[in-house]
Amino acid sequence: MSFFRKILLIGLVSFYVPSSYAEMTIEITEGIESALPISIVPFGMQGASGVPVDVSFVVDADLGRSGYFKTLDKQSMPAKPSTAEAVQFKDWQAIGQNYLVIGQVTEDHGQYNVQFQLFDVYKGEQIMGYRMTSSAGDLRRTAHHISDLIFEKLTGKKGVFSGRIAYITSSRQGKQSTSKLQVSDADGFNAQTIASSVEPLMSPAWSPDGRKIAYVSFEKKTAAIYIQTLATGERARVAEFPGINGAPSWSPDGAKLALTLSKDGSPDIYVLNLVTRSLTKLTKSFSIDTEPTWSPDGSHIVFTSDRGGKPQLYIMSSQGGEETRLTFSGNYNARASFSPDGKSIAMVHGNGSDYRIAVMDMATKSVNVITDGRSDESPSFAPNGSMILYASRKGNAGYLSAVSLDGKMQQKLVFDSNEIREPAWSP
Amino acid sequence: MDSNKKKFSWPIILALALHLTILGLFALSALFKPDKRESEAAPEIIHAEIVDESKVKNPAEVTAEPVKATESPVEEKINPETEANQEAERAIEQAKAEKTKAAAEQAKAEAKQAEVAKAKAEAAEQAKAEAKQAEIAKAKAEAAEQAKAEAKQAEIAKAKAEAAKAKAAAEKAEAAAKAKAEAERAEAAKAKAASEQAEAAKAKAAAEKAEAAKAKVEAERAEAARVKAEAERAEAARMEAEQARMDAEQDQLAIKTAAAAIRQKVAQSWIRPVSATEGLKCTIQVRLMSDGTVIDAVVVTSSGDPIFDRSAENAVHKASPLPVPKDKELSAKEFKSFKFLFDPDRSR
Repeated sequence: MSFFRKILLIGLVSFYVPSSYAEMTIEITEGIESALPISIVPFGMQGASGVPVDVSFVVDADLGRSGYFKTLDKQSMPAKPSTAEAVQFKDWQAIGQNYLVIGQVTEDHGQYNVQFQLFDVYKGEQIMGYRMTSSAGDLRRTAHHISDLIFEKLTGKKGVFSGRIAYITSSRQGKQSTSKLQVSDADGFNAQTIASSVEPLMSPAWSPDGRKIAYVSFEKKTAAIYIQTLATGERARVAEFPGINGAPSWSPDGAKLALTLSKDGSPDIYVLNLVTRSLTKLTKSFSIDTEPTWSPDGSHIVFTSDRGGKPQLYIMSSQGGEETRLTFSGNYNARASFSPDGKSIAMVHGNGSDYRIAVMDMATKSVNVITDGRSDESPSFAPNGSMILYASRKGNAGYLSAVSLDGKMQQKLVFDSNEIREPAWSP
Repeated sequence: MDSNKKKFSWPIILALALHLTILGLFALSALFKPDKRESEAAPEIIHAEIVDESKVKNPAEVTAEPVKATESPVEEKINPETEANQEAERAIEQAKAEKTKAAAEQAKAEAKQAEVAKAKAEAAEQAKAEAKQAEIAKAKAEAAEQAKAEAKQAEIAKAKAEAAKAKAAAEKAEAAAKAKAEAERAEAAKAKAASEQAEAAKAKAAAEKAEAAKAKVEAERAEAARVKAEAERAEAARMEAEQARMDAEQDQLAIKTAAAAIRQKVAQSWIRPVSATEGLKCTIQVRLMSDGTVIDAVVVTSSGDPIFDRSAENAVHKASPLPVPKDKELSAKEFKSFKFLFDPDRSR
């Protein structure tokens, strides 16, 4: 009897379940981490012949190189529309493209009008559209600017394609060796020489506003620190003390320069007030203290010291005071560079005979090695914090490379010089 | 009760038999004991008395006989002497000269005669002695014989006594062995009885258990039959309910399967934005055609991050057509309109 009742009950319950009128919600908790598929259709050239720069090609290269996007090669495109009316979204949906960029370049009395549109392929609507005017010489810059706009719109991060990088090259002609301080676009194009000397040039450092570069020059046989304004080429010697004058680093407000001086004997960290020219000695150890770098909020300075026997990173208040060791793993940790958000530090991490770029999480102090070279050096954060630029070499060839913070994305920048060191990404 | 009686009667009988046997053995041993004592004392006394008597009585008899034997040779010698007297008288008559001679001869003869007599006497003496000696030897031999016989008798008596003793001992041992064997047999019988009893009890228990099991099986079978009958009686109603349930279940299963497939397809289409900070989630309302094609996907609850929202919308669109159930009616009913919740933190 109870058996019978149970059967009936089961029947009733199962009847009622599907009859609920509450609308279903499907939860999506997993996604994929992959580059966003985007198609940059070659821009139409209406009345523009012999445009000096292929803008869409530069944009495609920028986005593709960033690692955040997977661009579609021209041969695979179902069509090459240059106007919104010509776009058939279904075609692009069919090949799994999330985004589409089309554009046009028109010449107007030696000036170029560049316009582009970014579409959401699945929604079938425009996300962004711009029209800009550029001289022939600025077309590449314009293209990088477009890349930045697209990048920021789709990733939420500021693009770094318009940024510039400073670096030191050296070349040899006979017995004569020449050292150059150069600045180029972030993709290595448009290299310009800022300073040149038969004596070594070293340690370029961008001012926070990106208008000046501080660097070390041995042009007078002894080391001195100069600050040079890029736009005018005007330069000032700010430190010429006996012994070492090295490793300049701008305070975030641009008013001070941290540097290494050995005028009192051993190399120590000093802060030079650029307005008052007053000099403050921060470290007083008998060991080598060098390579100071400011935290983004200006409150701390991280530097390299061999007081423990091997070079390791230490941190102290930018006002001076207690110095605390930061790094403990590996026998060599040097050349610190703060991320723009101050949450991590990039460094050269030496283990055995290998020197690689590592990132330390400031909160957990965990160190993550992100490159696999043998002599990687001079890490410098991109202004959006997404990548680290560093110098490396393979055989006799030196080159610059950019790596994502997790080490997964790596891009090699090709320059004409074989001897290239100390890159610094502009703010 | 019967078995109980049986149980006790056997050991009691055996015990009684054992006791009686033991008592009988005691009685037998008591009977044999005085015999044993006599036979033990007798041999020594008999031996001593027999030896003394023979030595005392028999030699006297022996000496009496030799005396007679010596008398008869003396009588026989008287006759020869008278013959010699008659001859000497004739010789006196015949020749007086010869008288001296004769006298001499007589003397000679007499001497000779004396000598003979002496020899005779000596011989007699010797014979007598020899006879006596023989007598003694004879007596001695007889005595020895007797002693020997007596000794033999004593020996026999002793042997007899010993045999009796041995026999008694043997009988005693036999009795003891018998008693022991009896006891062992009784013990064995007792043990056997006990084990048989235990066996019987065990068998009984097993039988009872088997009976109970059988009864239980029987009862279960009866219960099963009853339940089966009941179930069969409910069959019609059950079938009806089952059909309805199965239909509903099938629908539920189809819905579940489709929901899982949709979830998977959308998740695979969702490229999570790298800029997404923790805690972002958004809800998207979708409308579908019956074949699963997305008509529209609208953010109804924003994450606050347009890039996150767009990535979610994009994922839904990119996954179109969604794998809805093949049953168009069910698809239209259940998947015409529903929501997606994009919540990556749930997987962390």
